[in-house]
Amino acid sequence: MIPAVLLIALAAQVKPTDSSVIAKGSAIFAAKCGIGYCHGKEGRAGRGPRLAGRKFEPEYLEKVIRDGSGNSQMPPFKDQLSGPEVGAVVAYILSLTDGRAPMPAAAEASLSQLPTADPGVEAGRALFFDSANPKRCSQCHRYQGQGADVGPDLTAAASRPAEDLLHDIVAPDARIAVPAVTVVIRSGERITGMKQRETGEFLRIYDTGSLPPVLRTLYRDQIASVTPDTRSPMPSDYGKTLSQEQLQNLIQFLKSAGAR
Amino acid sequence: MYVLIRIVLIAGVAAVGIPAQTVTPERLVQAAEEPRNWLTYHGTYNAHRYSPLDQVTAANVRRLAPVWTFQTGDVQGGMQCTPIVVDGVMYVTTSWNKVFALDAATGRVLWRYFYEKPKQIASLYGPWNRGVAVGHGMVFLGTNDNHLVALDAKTGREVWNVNVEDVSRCGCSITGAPLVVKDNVIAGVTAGDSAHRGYINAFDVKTGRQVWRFWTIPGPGEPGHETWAGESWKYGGGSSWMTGSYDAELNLVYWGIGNPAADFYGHSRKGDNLYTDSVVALDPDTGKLKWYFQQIPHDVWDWDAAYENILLDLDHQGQRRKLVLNANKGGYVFVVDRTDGKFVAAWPLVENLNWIQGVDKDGKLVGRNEPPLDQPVTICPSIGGGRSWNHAAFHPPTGRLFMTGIEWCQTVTSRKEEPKEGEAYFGGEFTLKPAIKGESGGHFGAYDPLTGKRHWIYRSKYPMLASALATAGGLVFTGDVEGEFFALDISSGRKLWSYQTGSGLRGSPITYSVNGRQYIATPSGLGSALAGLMPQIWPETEHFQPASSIFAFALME
Repeated sequence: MIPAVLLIALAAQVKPTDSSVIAKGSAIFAAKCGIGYCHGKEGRAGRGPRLAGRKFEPEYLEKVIRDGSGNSQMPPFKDQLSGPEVGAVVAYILSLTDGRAPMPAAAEASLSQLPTADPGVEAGRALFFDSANPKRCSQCHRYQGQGADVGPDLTAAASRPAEDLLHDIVAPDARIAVPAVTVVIRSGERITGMKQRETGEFLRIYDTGSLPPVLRTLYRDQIASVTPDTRSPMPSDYGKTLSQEQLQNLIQFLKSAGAR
Repeated sequence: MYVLIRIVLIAGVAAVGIPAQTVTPERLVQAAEEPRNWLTYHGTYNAHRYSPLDQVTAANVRRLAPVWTFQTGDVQGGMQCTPIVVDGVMYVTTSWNKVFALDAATGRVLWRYFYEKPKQIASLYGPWNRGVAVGHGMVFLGTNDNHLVALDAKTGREVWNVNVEDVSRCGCSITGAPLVVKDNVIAGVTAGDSAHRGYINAFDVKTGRQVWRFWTIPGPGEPGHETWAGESWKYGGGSSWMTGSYDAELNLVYWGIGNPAADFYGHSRKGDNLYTDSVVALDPDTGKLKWYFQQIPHDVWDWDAAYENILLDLDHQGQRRKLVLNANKGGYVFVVDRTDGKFVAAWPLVENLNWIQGVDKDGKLVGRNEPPLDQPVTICPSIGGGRSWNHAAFHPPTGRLFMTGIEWCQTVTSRKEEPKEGEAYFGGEFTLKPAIKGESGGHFGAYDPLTGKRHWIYRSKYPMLASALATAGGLVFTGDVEGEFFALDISSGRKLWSYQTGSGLRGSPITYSVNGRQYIATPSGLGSALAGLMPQIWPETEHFQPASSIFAFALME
């Protein structure tokens, strides 16, 4: 007997083991199945059952996804997902078995060419992301989808010369993408930071005077003055607070394009 | 992802009898002096969930009738909040971080604030929210993408918004109500079942700037770091997902800390794993640790000490003592001295409890029953707990404590697991099983807080997931998952009044008054992680309908 998942996949003219199908299933799974206390990220178990590393018959998975499971909180998805979408989720769950996806040979082969973790890159990654570092870059910057949108997304930094990156980290005031503004409010408080949004009603500014930055909403009637600043909203002391080795690690990480 | 807000301003705060005054830190400390209001998550800083209002009594509770109902429209995850009432205005939160300001006498909407629903929440910890904190003219909300937001209490307009830690990285969120102490707003974090290092943060109420962070797992060089093997401290859980208490006289905040991760697999984190499963006492101005009491060293069952910390001043062995009581999720209640953290007493809340044989006179666990690797074993209670987070109430006139308990078990299999930052890190699997002693189900009892002596018990077919409210009218209010909200007689436990709200109760009832009329209000709406587990034992509960509403009751005029 041909498994239902194959029939569904054939109807959509895709193979269930194609990485594109698995990727599609993964996206649907993350949005529909991995949230809350359900099956957890990548099916690693929430307070619903673990799916990763378990063996399933594709027909069973297809039925449960479409019709729900009578003995649990698992709802039916037949009204939310099309046949090929259910097939993609089934393909994805099957790919979680033993944690190994049935990948096309070309993708399998490319795995062996992945660079191994470099200690310098890892140290740089920690400087960027580690929540124990109160001045971590990710409080303002995004890198490959993670972090915040206060300052520029630094994913593209990988293609920039290392000297430029160093310069921008230690002397942010010398070459400014977006200058800071200083707002004085009627209570007397001064806030220096990065303008996020401005309307006739209010000004929204990231206070970068301490970290994590705070998004302040200031209504026009609260504002005494708004003055452009000549400095960057970015802290200017990374040249002092980071050692030469740490700066190197950080640049190495930014240049690595996130390789792991 | 970024946060846009939609604000619908229906009206300014209407005249509702008593003019709204700013909630100052002094008012929060003296909250018991103004019983017309419910100013903090637990009503008062001592977490008694007790009100001196006595218009509604055991003698007249039969005349209690609904006055208004409010429906939030957001039923996913249930209605888990504690409403806050300030001078005739009620603040209510729902799943997905919606905040409503209501006229507390009529239920009419004054303003709404809808936090933008994150496109994908990377957190395991649900869309729900348990309430706001108020103070300094603002309303403070934690979000399911780990932001803390301050709103103008009069208009609902956003004042500040800080991203505590990137949710796509940490898998963490804020589901508990924040706590305002003086000029700081203090918030915990979820992610105790994830590869995450927990913390408690304080922010300046006016500016949103971070004032301090207390790591619930000590870092290198800090005392207690040696209780974590290798790199396990980086991924050890230790969430702080509920709301703390505060003793203004001692200037200490008491916060309960959750389980270590991986939940069921302890081999990679050898040691006591401080400060998981502990109550910590912190200086609210600096976040410095004054003392800790660890209930469960090296927890391998996913228990938590995260629930409410009830501050009690009681006689013990002939001496007046300042105490703090905390019920562990494992089904044991611990009482310690709140000036120094010294152990005083412990007592079991449930009959189905086999992970230890007991607690000795010094507060040490006796006869640990740890799940072996890769072998399914029966552990009681279940991961849902000997009770859930829904809060107890303390009734000072009688000295009685009112608390739920759940009789159930589970099969647990401990599995080796490698941590992946921000992702689920259970280290095992579980399946719920019926009780091995007596019948499975829930109960609600009146206890002596020091000895656990039970004065009466009310039994329910299912776990009871609503908080308790005790009043000077001689009543204790709570509810069940079948939708009944009811009042029991403090002395006898006899049911005196009941009202069917149409969906199970998973939130916290409060009482307040407007223009001299006492109201009792309760959230209604079944949902939550624990409600999601119930069908494993009671299949019919799968079909219990969700909802999200507030019911306000008063005596018929």
